[in-house]
Amino acid sequence: MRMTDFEPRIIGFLCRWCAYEGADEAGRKRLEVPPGLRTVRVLCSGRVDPRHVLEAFAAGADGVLILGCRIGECHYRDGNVQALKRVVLLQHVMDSLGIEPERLVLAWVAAGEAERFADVTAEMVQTLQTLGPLRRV
Amino acid sequence: MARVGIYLCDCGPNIVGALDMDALAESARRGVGVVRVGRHELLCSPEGRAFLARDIVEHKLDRVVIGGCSPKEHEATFRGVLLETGLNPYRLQIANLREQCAWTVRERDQATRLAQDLLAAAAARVLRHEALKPREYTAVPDVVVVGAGIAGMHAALALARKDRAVHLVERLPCVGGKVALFEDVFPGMECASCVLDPWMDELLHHEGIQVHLQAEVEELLGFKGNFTVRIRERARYVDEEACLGCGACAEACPVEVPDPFNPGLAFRRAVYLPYPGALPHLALIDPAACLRWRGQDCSTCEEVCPFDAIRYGEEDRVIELRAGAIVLATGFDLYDPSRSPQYGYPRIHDVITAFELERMMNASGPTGGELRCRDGRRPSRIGFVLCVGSRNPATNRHCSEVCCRYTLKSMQRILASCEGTAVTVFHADLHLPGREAQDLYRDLVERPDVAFVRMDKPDSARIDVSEGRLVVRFRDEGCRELSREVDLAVLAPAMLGAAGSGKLADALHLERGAAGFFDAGKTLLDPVGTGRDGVLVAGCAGGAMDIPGAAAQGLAVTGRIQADLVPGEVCRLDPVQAVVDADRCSGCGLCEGLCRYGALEWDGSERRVTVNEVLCRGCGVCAAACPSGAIRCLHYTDEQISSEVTALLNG
Repeated sequence: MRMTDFEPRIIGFLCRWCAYEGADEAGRKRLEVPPGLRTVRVLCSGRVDPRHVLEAFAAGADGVLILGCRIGECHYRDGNVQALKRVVLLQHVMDSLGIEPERLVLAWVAAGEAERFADVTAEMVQTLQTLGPLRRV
Repeated sequence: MARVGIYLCDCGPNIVGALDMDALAESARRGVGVVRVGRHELLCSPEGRAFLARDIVEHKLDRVVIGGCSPKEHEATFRGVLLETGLNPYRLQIANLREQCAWTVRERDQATRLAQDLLAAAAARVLRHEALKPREYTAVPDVVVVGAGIAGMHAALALARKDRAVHLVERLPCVGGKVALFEDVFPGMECASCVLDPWMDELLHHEGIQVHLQAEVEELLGFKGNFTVRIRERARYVDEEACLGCGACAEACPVEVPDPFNPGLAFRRAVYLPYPGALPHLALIDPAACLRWRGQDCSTCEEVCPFDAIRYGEEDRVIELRAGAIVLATGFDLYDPSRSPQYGYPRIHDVITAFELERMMNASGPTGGELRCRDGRRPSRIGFVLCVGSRNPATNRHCSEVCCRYTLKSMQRILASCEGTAVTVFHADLHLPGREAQDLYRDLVERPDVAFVRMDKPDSARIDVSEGRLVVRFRDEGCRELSREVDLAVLAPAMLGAAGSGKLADALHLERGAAGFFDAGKTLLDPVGTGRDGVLVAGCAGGAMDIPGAAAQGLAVTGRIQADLVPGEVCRLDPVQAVVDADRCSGCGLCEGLCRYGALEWDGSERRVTVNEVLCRGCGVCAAACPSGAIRCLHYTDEQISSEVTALLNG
C-alpha cells in the first residue's frame, strides 16, 4: 500500500560530469523533482563509499540514490563500474542489517537526460512511499 | 576560529521569486562559524563581484558560501573573487538554489526548506575545506609527432622554431609515408614524390626537428604541458654517417624476401634501401630476414661495403622525451582483400590492389612504369572494382573518400599512356566532390573505351577465372546477374587506421573505432582533438581523407598547439587529488589495480602505495576502496562528504 502523503527524504550522490549536469538540465527545463531530494555532488559515482550510504541512512534518509554516467561513458573510464560492484555488495549487507535493499538505488543519467533524472527520482519516491519511512530503533 | 560568510543571490527574479529569502537568511545566520549573511540581486555581475570582494575583506571572512545558481555556472568566477581578496579559492562552497531548487520545486515552503538544507550543508562542508594550493609547472613547449607522412611532416615543419623543438617519431626507416610512394596524384597529375622531395629534405635537415626513424612509442605518461614519452629506435645496423646509399650491400646479399613497398611485384634483400628515392638515402638490415640473426655466419654486406658502414653489433636505443603535446599522425593501411574471398585476391594473379597498380605504374617502380599482367602481356581490358571491403556492415561500414577520385586519376593515366586499353569501372555510386572530379568524370564517361557500370550494392562483386579468362561478376541495379571479362582487375580496398596504431592506442589509453581510426573529432567544432587533453590527431589516422585534407589537419594541430601551448607559459596542476597517508597504508595493494591512470605506484621496499601527482585525476575511486581509510581524496574527503550529508538531513 502506498503512503501517498509521505514525502520521503532522499540523499542523492550525483557525479559531476553526467548526473549533476542532468539534474541541472531538469531545472533548466523546469521539470518537477521530488522536494524531499537532497543532492551531494561528487566527481565520480565511484567516489561513493559504502560508509557514506550507511551514514545517510543513520542520519535520517529514507532512501539513497547514486547517479553516475552511463556505462562506457564514465569521465574516468570505468569509475561507474566500481560503483555498480559496490552497490550490489552493499545491498546484500543492508539486507542483513534490516534495511530493505530497495532503499538504495543506482542509476545512470547522462548529462542531457533531464527527463530521465525526473523519472528516476519520481520512481524512487514511489518505491519509498510503498516501503514507508525507514524505521529507526 | 572560522569566519564564514553566507551570501544569498536573488539571481534576478529566478531565486527571489521562488524562495522566502528572509527565512533563508535567518536559518543561515544560525550556522556554526557564520559571522555574516549578505544578499545581492546578481552576484555574478561586475557590481555583484565587487560587492562580494569588499564584503569579504570588511568582515574578515576566511570561508564563503554562495547560495545561487549551479556551481557549474560560476564556481570558477567566485573562486576568482576569493583569490582577489587573498583567500584560498577552495574555501568556497556553492549551494545550488536555482537549477536544483527554485526551478524544480514548485511549492514555496518546500522549496525554501530545501534551500535551507542546501545552505546548511554548504556551510558545514566549507568549515572542513582545506587551503589547497595548485602546484605550478612550466609547460614543456616541445611536441612529439608520431608519423612522418603528409600530416605529420606538415605539422613538424610548421611547429618547429627556436623555442619549440619537435620530435618526429616514424616507424619506417624513411619519411614521407604513403604519398612518397605515389607518382601522379589527383587532380593536377603532379608527381607527388617530386613535390615532396625538397620538403622532406628541409625536414631532415631542420635544426628544430629531431627525426627518429625505425622508432615507435612504447609508453606515454603525463598530461598536457607535461608528457613523458618513451620511444624505442630500432637498430639500423648501418652507420648513418658513413653510409652513402650506394646499394652495393643489397646487390651482394644472398637473401630475398617480398618487398612490402612493392607488394606482389618485387623482392628485396635482407640489407636494403627502402625504395628508389626514399629519404634519407640510407641502407638498413632487416633482422627478420638476415642470415646472421638465424645463427648463420654471413658477412657479405660488410665485406662489400666500400665505406665500412655495416654495424652488426648496433643496439636499439630507448629514449625518454619530454613534450607538452602529442600529435598522432600514423596514417592508414589498406584493407586486405584476401579477407573477402569473393574477389579472388591474391589467389588469382591478375587481381591486384590499387596500391599495387600505383607501384607498377611508377616510373621508378619494379616494372619501370609498364602495365603488365602476371604473364607479362599488356592488359587491354582493365576493370576497376570499387568499395572492396567498404560500405558494408559485414566488412567496414565507412566510405574511404578517395578511391573514386584516384580511380579516375589512374584511368586518365592509363588511357593516355597505354593505347588500345579499355576500362570498366564497377561501382555502387561515385563519390566525386568538388569541380575537378566532376569535370574529369564527364570527360571520361564520354569515351567509347570507358564504361561505368553500377552494381546494386557496394562490396558485392565477385571475381573468378572461367575457362582461363578473368571474369568480374555482379548484379546491376535491375537485379540482373551480369559479368564482364577483363585482363586485369584493380581493387580499391577500404582505408583503415594504420595496423601498428593499435599498440599506440593502448599505450595512450585511447579508443580506436572499428576501422582502426583514432576517435578524434567527436565534438562538432574540434576535428583534431581526442578525449585526452594535449593529444591531437592529424590526417588519415583519424579517418580517411585526401592529401589536401591531411595537410590541412597538420596545420590545424599546429594552430591548436601554438594557441594552447605557449613557450614559457606557467600552468597549474589541479590540486583535487588523492593523497596516501603512509602511516595508515597497510600495503594490501587493492587500490593499485583500480586506477585507470596508472597513478598509484607500489613501493616494493616500503611495502605501500604512493600517488603520482602528475597522473592522478582525483576521481576518488581508490579512496572509496581503501579498507584502511588511508587514501584521502582532497576536496572530496570523507569528513567533507559526511558533514554535507548530515547537515542535509538535520539542517
